[in-house]
Parts: sequence; structure tokens; C-alpha cells
Amino acid sequence: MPSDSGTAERPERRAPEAGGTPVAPGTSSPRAPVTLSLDGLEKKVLAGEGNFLWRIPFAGGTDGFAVLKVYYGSRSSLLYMKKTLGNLLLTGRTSQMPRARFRHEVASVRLWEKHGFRCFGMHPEVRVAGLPDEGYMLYDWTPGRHFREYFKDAAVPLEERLAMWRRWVPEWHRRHMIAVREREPMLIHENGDVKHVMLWQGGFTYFDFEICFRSRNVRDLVGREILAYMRSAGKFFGDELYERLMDELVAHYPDKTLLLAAWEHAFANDNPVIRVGRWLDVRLKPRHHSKYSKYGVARDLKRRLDAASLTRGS
Amino acid sequence: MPKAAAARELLRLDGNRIWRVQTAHGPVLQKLYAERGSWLHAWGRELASRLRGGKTGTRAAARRATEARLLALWREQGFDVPAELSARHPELAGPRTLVLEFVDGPLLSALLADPALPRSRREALIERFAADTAKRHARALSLGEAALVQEHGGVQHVLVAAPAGAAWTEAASRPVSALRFASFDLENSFRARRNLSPLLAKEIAACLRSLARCSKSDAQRLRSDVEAFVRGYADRSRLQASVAHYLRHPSPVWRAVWAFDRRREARRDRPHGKYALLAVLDGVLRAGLR
Repeated sequence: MPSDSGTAERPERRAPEAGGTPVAPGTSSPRAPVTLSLDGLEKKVLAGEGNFLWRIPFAGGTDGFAVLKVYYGSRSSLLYMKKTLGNLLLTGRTSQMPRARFRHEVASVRLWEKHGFRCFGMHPEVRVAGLPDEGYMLYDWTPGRHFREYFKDAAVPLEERLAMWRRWVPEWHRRHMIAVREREPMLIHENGDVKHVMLWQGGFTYFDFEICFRSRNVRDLVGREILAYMRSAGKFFGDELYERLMDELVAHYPDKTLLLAAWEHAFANDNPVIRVGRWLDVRLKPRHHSKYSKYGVARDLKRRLDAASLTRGS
Repeated sequence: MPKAAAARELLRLDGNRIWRVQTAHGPVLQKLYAERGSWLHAWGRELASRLRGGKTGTRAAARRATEARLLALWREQGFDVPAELSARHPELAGPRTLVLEFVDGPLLSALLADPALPRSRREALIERFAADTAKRHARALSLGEAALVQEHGGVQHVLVAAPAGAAWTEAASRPVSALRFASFDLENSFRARRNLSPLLAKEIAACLRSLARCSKSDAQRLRSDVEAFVRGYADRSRLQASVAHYLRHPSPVWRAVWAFDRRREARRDRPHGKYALLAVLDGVLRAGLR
């Protein structure tokens, strides 16, 4: 069980407004150190492959719980190393090694919160006996609704769901705009899709930041992220809702040129080597011909942006 | 568009895009400057343009820079163009884009093409357009500023709107003098030169061609439109000089060039050929105004 000091009163966390009011610094936890022992603790397993993720009792946490994320998962060191090599040498991502994932996640959460994007609150003052330093983090238990569940829920009127999407789209754009302006790849959601955004206390909460991109061509990364979100929207929500969400996205995402970056990511990369690679990719892999492949979604977005343009080609 | 062509279209970005974007301060336009055609095509066009030396750059970045410069210049000189709002909307501006005022109103060409538009209103609109053009030409001549001559002149590049942001629906019936005539499409321009007369002649010919497109091959209507243009422009000597530039150029070399061009135009059988329209203008000027 958590020690008594774990019950210390925590500062109030504020949900960012749709416009993006920055979350107050130090939102995650009190400063007083706390040491937990996992022995005899009632743990509910939430995930257990790349990481171990447990919901544990935590005095002062939401509903009396917190989430312990241990970055040393069930994978072998060899597999972590293999994935790290792929990330560093091929895909332009950060390391897969547990401590590196810990460091990137903590840094990303701090950066996102600094810019007013709400993430799971952290408790860096909590130590867990028996676990290596920089190998774990205790997060607030956040029992919100994932986008994936919310938008599929037929019990919520369609107009209400679309209104929620319209409220989220400007916040999404604001993050992209800041990322491009500051050339900050950590503001791009590497694993971004409708599974990693949650509705909580009237705002949006983001999670899963263990891996980041390293490229400073952030515009291209924005394009990639837009495709990833919309592909997942198509896969999880089905054709009908996808069409509506796409319509709303093109209508309400302010900077259309950033939306166009999604098409540029797939078909018009600045780097000719990548462009040729993608040209081969789309032709050689049958799965890239599907509607919700990144190329399919990119073409769809381009078609909609062309239709929304007051002029074409003049 | 055939399916294959539509699919190809989705694989390339050919030419500019303009999107209307709703902001907290009202709607604005976000204009993206993109290359036209393949890189080889764009590069060849730029090279040809540079060799001729008469116009500003044709690549996307150059067109964006030209438009920003001309919007500021025209506004400074008191000519109505959409405001450039990039500084007010940095979230929409970028190295490839400009943010422009959304002018709520129809194209002058669309108004003139409307068969239901009464003749008196049509002529009043043309007179106002011609008067604005003449005023700008006079300023261009007095300042020796080639950038005040519109490279893509014509009624298709003028928006007619209510002043001070009022909606067009409320302004449609107002007197023509109370309306805004905002010129747009200034991304190409002429480079500085000593003699602006050929440029003015070119723009006047372009204006006539744009009027002819609205008259839909109705010769009677075209003539009355040209008469309205002459009344509005007022400076007959400059109009005569424009006619003379193409039809009676003093230099035999240029006369030969225009004769060749004229035969080429006749072969293309264009309904709104420059020379035919200048002949109409010549006729109106010789006959005197009603």
C-alpha cells in the first residue's frame, strides 16, 4: 500500500480550455517523496508487453488509484536492441530502450503540458522499492473515455460527436502550429491515433509518448500524424463516420496548408530519396491500395482540399 | 474529368489553392502559392521569362513575393485591393502562403455576364471599372511604376463588394459609386521599364477581351460595352495610343510582329481576338461617343 505521505493534498489540475490554457506547472504531484512497496499491493494489469502497466491503489489519486508504468516490459533486451537499431538507423525515431523511453515520455509530458495540452499527471516524487531508477513512473489514474470508444458510441447523438470533433480540431491544429513554429518533433504524437486521446473532465487528454521522432522537418511529421489519426478514424469508426469527420476536419482545421502536409508526406516529400521510396512503397505493397492506407487517406484529403479551394491551378 | 485523369490529379499539386478560413475576426483567405506543371515545366517557364526580361518571376516563391509587394504598393497608392493580413494571422501565414482579406462580393465578370442585369446598370459598372483603370494608369505613368499596370487585367479580376465589410446581399442594389471594386490576382507583374505605354496598351486590350467574354458574342452588346468603357476611361488619347500600338505602330519591325501575330490569331479563330476588339475600340473612338 502507499505510505501515508502519499495522501498529501495535491495541487488542483485544470483541464485546458479548447483554446488551450496552459496547465499550471507542477500539476503532477506534491514534492514530498513517497516510497511504495509493490509487495502485497493489489495490482490490476492494464498492459504487459513493451511496458508493464498496473493500476494500483494510491491515496489521493482519482478514485483512490494511480497507474504504475514500468518501462521494462516482457520483451527481451535483444528485442529492445533490435527495435532500437531500426528506430535509430531507419525510421528516425528515438531509442526503444526502457530508460530512453522513460526519459522521452517524461520530457514529452512536460513539454506538452507547458503548451497547454493535458497529459496524464506524473508523480516523480514516488519511488517504488525494487524497481530501477528511471525505469518507471507513477501516473494519475484517468478514467476518461477514449476517442475510439466515444466516437463509436451510437448512444451519443451524431451531432454531439461531431460537435466534439469540431471542438478538438482547433486544439489539434494549435499543437501542430506550435510544433512547426518551434521545430519541435516532441510535440508530434508518434503513436498518435484515436486510441491515444481521451475525453476527461470536459477536456482532451493525451498519452503514450515513449518514442519521439528526431527529424526537424516537423511539417512532414505533422502530415504523418494527420494521416495516422485519420487512418485510425477510418478503421475504427467505419466509412460513414469517417466521411463526416473528414468533412469537418477540412472545414474546421484552420491552416489548410498544414492539412495538405499530409498529402505531401505521402506523395511530395522534399527529399527525392524518400519520394522514390514512397513511390515504390505504394506500388509494391498491396495493403497500401486500401482506402485507409496512408496513401488512400492522403489522396482523399487532397481531393477534399482541392474541392474546398476557391480556385485550382490558376 | 475522366477517372484516370482525376487519379493523376490527386498525385500532384498543380498551381495555387485559395481557401476560405473562418477566424475569430471573421473569414479570411489563405492563398497557397504552388508550382505550375512539372518541375521541368516550371523551370523552363522561368528561364523563358528571364530571357525575355519583361516580367517578374514565375516560380511559386517569386509570385508570392510579387503579390505581397504589389498589394502593399497598390494600397499605398489608394487603389482597392484585398488587405494582406499575414501579420494579423501568423497561424495561417507561411513561406508559401499569404493571408488575404475575404472580400464578400461577386466577380465583376459574373455580374456583367448576368443576362438579367439591366443595361444601364451594366454600363455603369463598366464605366466605374474603366475610370478606376484610367486613374491607375495615370498614376503608373506619373510615377513611372510598371507594377501599377495589371498583368492579368480585366473584369474577371475585380471583386465588387459593399464598403466597410457589409454583406454583398445588402449592397447589390446600391449605386455603383458606393461599391468597392477590389482588384486581385497580382502575383505576376511587369518589371520596371522606361516606356510604360506598351504595358498600358496590353492591359487595355486585356480589359476589352474580358468584356467581350461577358458579352457572349453579341456584337451589339459588345459595342455598347466598349462605348461604356471609353466613357469611363475618359482619356481618349491614351486609348488611341493603345489602338495605334497594335494597329498602326510607327516601327515597321513591330508592325511586322503584330501582322504575324494577327495572322496567327486569325488561324486560331478566337472569338475575342485582341486585334478585332481593338478595331471595335478604334471604331468607337473614331465615331465619337453618344
